[in-house]
Amino acid sequence: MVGLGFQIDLFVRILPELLRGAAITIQLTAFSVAIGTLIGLFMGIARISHYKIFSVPSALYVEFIRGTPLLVQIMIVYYGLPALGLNLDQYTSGILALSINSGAYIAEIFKAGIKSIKKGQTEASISLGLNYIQTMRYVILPQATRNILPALGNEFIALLKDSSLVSIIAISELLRRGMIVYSRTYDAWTPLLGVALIYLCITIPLSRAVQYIEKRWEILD
Amino acid sequence: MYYTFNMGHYSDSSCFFAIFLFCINNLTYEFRNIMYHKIQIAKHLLVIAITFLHTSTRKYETEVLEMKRIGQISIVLLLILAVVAASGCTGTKSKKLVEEGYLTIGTEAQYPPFEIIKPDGSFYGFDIALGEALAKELGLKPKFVDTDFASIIASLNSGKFDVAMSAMTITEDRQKTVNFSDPYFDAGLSMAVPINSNKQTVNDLNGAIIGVQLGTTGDIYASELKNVKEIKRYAHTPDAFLDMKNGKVDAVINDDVVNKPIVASDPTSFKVVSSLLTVEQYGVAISKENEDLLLKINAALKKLKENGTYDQIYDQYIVNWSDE
Amino acid sequence: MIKNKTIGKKLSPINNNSNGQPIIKMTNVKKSFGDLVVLKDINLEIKKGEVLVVLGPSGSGKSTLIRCINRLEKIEEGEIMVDGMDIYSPDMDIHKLRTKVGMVFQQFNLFPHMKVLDNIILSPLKVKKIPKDQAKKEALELLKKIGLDDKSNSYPHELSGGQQQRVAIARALAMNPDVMLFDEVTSALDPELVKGVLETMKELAKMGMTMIVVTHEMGFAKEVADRVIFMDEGYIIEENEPKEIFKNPQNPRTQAFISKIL
Repeated sequence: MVGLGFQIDLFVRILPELLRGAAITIQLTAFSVAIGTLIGLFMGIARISHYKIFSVPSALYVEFIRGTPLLVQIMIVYYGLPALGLNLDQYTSGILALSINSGAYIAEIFKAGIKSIKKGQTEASISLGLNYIQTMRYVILPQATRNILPALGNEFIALLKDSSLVSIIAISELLRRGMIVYSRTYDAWTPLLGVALIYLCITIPLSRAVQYIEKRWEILD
Repeated sequence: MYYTFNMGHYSDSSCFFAIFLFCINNLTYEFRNIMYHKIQIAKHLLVIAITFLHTSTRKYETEVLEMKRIGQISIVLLLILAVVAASGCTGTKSKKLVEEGYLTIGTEAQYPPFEIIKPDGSFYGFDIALGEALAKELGLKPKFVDTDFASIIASLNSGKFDVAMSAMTITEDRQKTVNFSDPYFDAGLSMAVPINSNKQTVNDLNGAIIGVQLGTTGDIYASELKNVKEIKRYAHTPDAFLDMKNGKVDAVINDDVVNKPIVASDPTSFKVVSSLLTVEQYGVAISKENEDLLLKINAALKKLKENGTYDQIYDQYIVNWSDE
Repeated sequence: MIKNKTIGKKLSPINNNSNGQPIIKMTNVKKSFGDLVVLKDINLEIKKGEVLVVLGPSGSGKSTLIRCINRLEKIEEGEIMVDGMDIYSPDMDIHKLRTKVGMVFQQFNLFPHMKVLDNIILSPLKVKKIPKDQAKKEALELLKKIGLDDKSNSYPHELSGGQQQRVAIARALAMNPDVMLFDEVTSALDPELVKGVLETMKELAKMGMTMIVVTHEMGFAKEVADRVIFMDEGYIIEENEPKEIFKNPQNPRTQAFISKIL
């Protein structure tokens, strides 16, 4: 069956190759979101700190990352950093760039989540004698998680799609594998459509899961 | 609102950091590279610093002393950064291999029959086989890194790989920034056109759109043609052919020995005309700071040509090319 | 602006368990929010075991006054001594200070993601490092005293407003403070729930707790307060025994205010 030029037999043949790429994509995204969450947690808290030494650098970091294209950031990490003596291989560069990028967006997620908690919670906590870190840990962050977790889920999905950009530094993730296929077969429609389909197969279940979690928590309200 | 920022739980945060660095270290085998040593140094320094700060400042919980603590931490972090950066400065421009025990070879792997990536993800082609043979002669294991052709020399010089083997023509211009080994392949440009095209030579290219790969000798040659309508520069040669198949490009100018297998894989779409517009030779590109390696590669090349390995590879990949 | 200080007239608290030393002493306290000066020159002494009620129109600075005592708000000028220690001195451990001064808020501010019992034991566990079993035991005893021990495993949103506020009081009491601050704690409650909370507060007063209460509940003030102060526009205008202030307000501003509410 050749529907709209899409060659199913070709697709089936290249599927294992593409799936290997998908595994790399998921791996890259997972590591980057994990590291980005760590970065984002500290940066998010630093953003709302009263000490300028924390709030200013973190604000600059977020501004820079959000104001420049991810593609540029990836290329800077891989091609540009050697000038500073930091020579990283492709996978490390990819994960580093994606982590730093998602860290900035996750910092904003944490900041918004934390700020959404009423001031009275913090006041009650500190007037009981709890210090800042205890207040964050036991009072604010557990409550903020309700807002933060779905947003983190969406960030994961967004980063999964954005990770296709690391194909520019020849990381063999899903998109790159598709490109290599059509460099062999001279049919770009089938592999590219196949790549898109595989992305959908990953992102659709994930976004359903995030929606489900959001709904469940709304009921508890 | 008044908060005091209590940094009392250093052991927790240093554990966190150590785990974070450990993860970066050991994610997959691909991560073991020169960063390894720098990360070790940074790790040790950081743990020492954090322990020191933890024990010395446990008693102090007021704002004035907290500012001092913040100052201490900043100084320690800056020191660590300086050490990491400094060790980087001495590490990469030397003649050391990118990775001990390996000959790291950069190549742009969408270029049959010299380098392609097979469905199982492995590198395959003339340059690949030759590269493996060279590495063996040098007593090293081969390791290939896929890269863009346009930036291959910059990446070579910034230390991403030890050598570049990517069907690179030896030109005077390139020799200004890198060294080349003795030539290992005789080649030349030709023109590929759609199967139904009536263009036979470069003189038929008035008002035509030409596709080339960015940074190649095909690019340079096409750029000097007069009266062409437009030159489209692609990151990879197959992209140019794909566009030609879709009618967006009238001709592709590229290495003849590459045009042939590409056309052969889709003979109803393309044909090669006007062969050997130029005479070129490929060489292995090596950083100018690695004269030691240059000598070794030349010696190895000579040996491979003398003992028949070179001919074997030529037979398998050029004469009998098949990408199955 | 006439400040009617009771110079020369020492008030003795109803409860005789004090040693005469003021547990809280505020001297020349001034506090602004940006350009707006909210506390203009506060001088106040509170004795141990005393129940002080703070009255005044909105904007007079009543809430700000008590929030300065546990450093929830920072003062620009003046001095605040709690239990003989300057709360802004470099050796003052602010977290310790706040365990000595408990506060109950108008909006209750219970931690919604924790059960009632966990709300109460959080601070004793983490700040005073009391072992969990002991903390739980003491918390249950407190809940029993206010009649809510059957709610110990409920979440705050399952309780009525009055019950939540009483839990908030228990939570503050769990730290064994020397002073309790109450910031309009019944203003957000439905009228029928107010009584329960006030009863709890009366019990507390009987047990000899030093309390500073910002409230509009005149009945409470008349029944329980040892002293009442009236504030307006950042000054303490008048202070006296509740009987006197309600029957014979001296200052015309006090008179205007009292006449409006009674």
